[in-house]
Amino acid sequence: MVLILSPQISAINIGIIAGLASAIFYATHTIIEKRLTLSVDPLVEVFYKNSFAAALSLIAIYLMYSQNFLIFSEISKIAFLGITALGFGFIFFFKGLGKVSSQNAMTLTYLEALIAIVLGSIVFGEAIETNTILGGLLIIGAGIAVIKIND
Amino acid sequence: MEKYKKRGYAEIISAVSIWGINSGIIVKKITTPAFYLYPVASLFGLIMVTLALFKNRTLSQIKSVDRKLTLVIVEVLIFLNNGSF
Repeated sequence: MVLILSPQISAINIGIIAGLASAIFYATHTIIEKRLTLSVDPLVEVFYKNSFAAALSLIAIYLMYSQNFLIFSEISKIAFLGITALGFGFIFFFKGLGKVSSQNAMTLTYLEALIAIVLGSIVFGEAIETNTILGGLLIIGAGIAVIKIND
Repeated sequence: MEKYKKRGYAEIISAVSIWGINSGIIVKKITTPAFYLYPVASLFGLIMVTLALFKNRTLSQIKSVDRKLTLVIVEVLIFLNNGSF
């Protein structure tokens, strides 16, 4: 990941710290979800997860940023994002999590960054540097190795 | 068992691909501040999941969701208290 993010990662800043904190919380979330998939329907899990996320974060942003609460011109794009990423995405993820180990599932989530970079290159014509290719190969290689060793 | 695992990997890769597509294309096309993005998007995700959840379910199955919520809260509280399940 450091190779992919280079040279932006050259200086420690609040964004990187927030990103690392996010990774820790996400890993904790995956472990809890793995535990819950043993007894709870994935659809029910996603239902409550999105309920709490929507309720708590809407209250927080309303209290902090009550003006310009929503940008309505972009609502269709945000709706697409919510339905696909937070709807279908999490349902697939939790269904899969019930069948494989959380360690293997977490390793596969690194592919998200690679897909985004490849799409960024195809759709927006963004350049892919040697570091990015090298980092991408390491992520794919590490993912395959972790799954093979665990299985 | 092997087929069951393969299906699990396929589901996780599908989820990760959807996230990658969204972060690679959709998020870059949105100028709404990131702070608003997740809460509003999660609301749409909630609507979609709610529709899927209540489709073709009996009243007794819907009622059992409440009991499962209790289980989820208890699990999280145990985790926060003990650091393990």
